[in-house]
Amino acid sequence: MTLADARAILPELRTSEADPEADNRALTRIADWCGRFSPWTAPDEDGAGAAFGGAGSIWLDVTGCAHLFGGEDALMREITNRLAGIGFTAYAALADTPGAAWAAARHTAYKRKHWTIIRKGQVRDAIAAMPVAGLRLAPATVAGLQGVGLRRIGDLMPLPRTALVDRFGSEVADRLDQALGDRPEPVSPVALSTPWHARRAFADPIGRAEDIAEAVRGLARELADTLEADGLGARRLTLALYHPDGTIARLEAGTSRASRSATHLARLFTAKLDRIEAAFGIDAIALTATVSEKLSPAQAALDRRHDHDEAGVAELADKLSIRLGGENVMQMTLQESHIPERAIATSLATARTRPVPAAPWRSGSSLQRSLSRPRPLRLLSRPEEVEAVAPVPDDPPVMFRWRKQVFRIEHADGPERIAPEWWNDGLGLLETELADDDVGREDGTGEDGTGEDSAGTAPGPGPSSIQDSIRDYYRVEDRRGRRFWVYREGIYSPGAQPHWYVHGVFG
Amino acid sequence: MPRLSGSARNRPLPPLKRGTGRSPAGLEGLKAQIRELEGFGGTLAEAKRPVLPFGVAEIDGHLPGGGLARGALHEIFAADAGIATAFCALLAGRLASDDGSHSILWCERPWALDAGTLYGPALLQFGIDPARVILVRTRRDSDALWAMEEGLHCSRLAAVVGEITNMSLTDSRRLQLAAEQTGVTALMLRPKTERPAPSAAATRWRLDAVEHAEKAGPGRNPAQANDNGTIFQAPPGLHTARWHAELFRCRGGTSANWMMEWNDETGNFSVAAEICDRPPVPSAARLAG
Repeated sequence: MTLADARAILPELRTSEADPEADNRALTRIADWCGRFSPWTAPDEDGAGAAFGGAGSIWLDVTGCAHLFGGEDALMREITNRLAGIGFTAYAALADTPGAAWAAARHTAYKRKHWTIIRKGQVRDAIAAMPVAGLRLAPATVAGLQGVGLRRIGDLMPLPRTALVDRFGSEVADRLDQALGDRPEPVSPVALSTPWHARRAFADPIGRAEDIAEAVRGLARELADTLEADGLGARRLTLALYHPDGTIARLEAGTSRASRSATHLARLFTAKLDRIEAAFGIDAIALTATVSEKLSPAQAALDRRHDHDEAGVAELADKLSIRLGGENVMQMTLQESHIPERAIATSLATARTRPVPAAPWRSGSSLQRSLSRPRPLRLLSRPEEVEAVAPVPDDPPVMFRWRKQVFRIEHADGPERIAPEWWNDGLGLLETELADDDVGREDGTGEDGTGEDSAGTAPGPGPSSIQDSIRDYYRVEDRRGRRFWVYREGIYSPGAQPHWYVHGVFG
Repeated sequence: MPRLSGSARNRPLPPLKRGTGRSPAGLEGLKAQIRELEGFGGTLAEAKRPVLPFGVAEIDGHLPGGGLARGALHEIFAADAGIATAFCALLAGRLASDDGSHSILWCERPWALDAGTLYGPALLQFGIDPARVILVRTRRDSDALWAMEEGLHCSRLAAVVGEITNMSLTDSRRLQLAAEQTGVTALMLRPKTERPAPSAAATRWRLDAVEHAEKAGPGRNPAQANDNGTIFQAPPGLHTARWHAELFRCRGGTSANWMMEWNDETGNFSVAAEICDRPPVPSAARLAG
């Protein structure tokens, strides 16, 4: 029927443009919202759209969930009632296979209730009477089947599969097998689903902060028990708070060390609960450990004192990260590099994969050598250029001007020559920090290039660029006793004005 | 009551010895009462409050209890950022190596001292394991103060260091109380201020570089000739670092100041007796160039 025909029949017809993308977004939101019934939900992407009459659907894997709501009937009633409560008319079907549920949801004659259940083992009988459109087939295929008199799914069942495939392609046979459970049909859930999950639904929405906090503590205890049974500890957690109006507030938290202490897990969230808008209350809460790690119970028993230290400090790091932001709570790791900026790396304190051994670098010989050299206690994030007066060719400055102050040098040690990493073609320089993967790529191309044309010689831009970026560091002390780490960039060449930089201050 | 720095600086060295035995009993009782009010619970000796000795008789003898009180707040004002940081790192490093737990919380605010960020490899010289430092970087004082207080509540830490620009008396009181509860020592690194606002810190220090005595003339060092044949003056090498540490407020004690010498190779420090006209002591095995 065309729009013109429809308007002729019903002049006051209200129309609006189809917006499939908005429909999909709404479906995804509803799927998300359905997380209150099962952690495993997904919008139906294959079976949605204009080809199927515009009706979208959502998958819920409710395996093992029904008893929480008082049985399958109660669960289905709850789902349809809740959806009606937030303004959607929904029909729900429960079956052994996704295909059968899809067919049943669309081709059941609903009367009073908006839901239907195909009991265990009754799929074949139940869908046999449904039209072939229930198999999620393209409209052309449905028309083709109807054209040869195959109107019901039951008509297809006795036919040999090879004949079906020859005539209509593999689609019909596949969908039929999926609906009957002879062929698996994987559906990926919208949210990462893990078995470490605890949820609680409330008969009436709760709104008091103390109630919510208490519920979170209860969930944390439940989750901690599950984790303990599996010998795991949580590293990342998500707390989902379901509002009655269909919105979901999610809080994320990480731990710097696998943990299954209920009080610790609860504290990760209770501090943040005041950010939750609970004007209409909350009618369900779910706590999920999205990332977990092995945490054997033996760890706690052996070497108790040390373990306790680690745990106390790790919990502190978590607490600080929650309030100040994870990127502001760091941990330092010494690196095997003679370049001052690269000798230290910071990583998130909460992202630490395992407890760091007491002093791993003390065995590293080259690292130890570079560390025995005096290093400034405070390093400027970027070397600052100074106007310096220095004898040529390579002496420490006798004075320099930095931040509008003049420093007259009385004592100096050095130079300590720090050259860029030769394997980086002079590119891995101190200002142009390359990411690790870039360095790796640089290595590869460098080898290829030299291998082909000029094996044995330094790579193309080698000598000059390396010489330009060599740094001669001096420790200098000015007349007032202040100590600085200054360097001259490049090797002295007559006529060229040397550049001096301040890079740090000593104690 | 904060003392003015001027009066403290003019005090003759070594500081006055306080005869405890000769004082009348009434006065001692009164002093104990005052200390109790100040939060130390009787005299330090009686309370057996743990202290961190400097290992230098002059300083330890002056500080009540024979060292820097643990479980207390100490403020270090940075007349020189590098030296004040070094002083903090030295104390934190000693606290960490004394304790079974080595972890240190360092609330860094590079904007507070405006002299760059803490450089991990240098911490090794102070006996601090960089991997055991939780480095917190905050923009606001209030966040850093909060982080410090949280750190002080965690008895697993050896020390909490914070770089703080402004702090109210209430803030310092909170930190002092938190430190007293768990026994974790709080060190506060503060930028140079002319008149520091009062605080509840147990000690307040000002760390500065030691100025060189004016030299008679430029010809002190032997001239050297380089390849080009020009003559230039090579400045002499660095000797042991010298710090001017001024203790301008000490709860249960008096103010004083010392010239400290810190040897970055051995990690020891001592009080320098004579500062003027002392020949520089070149430390052995410096960089050969």
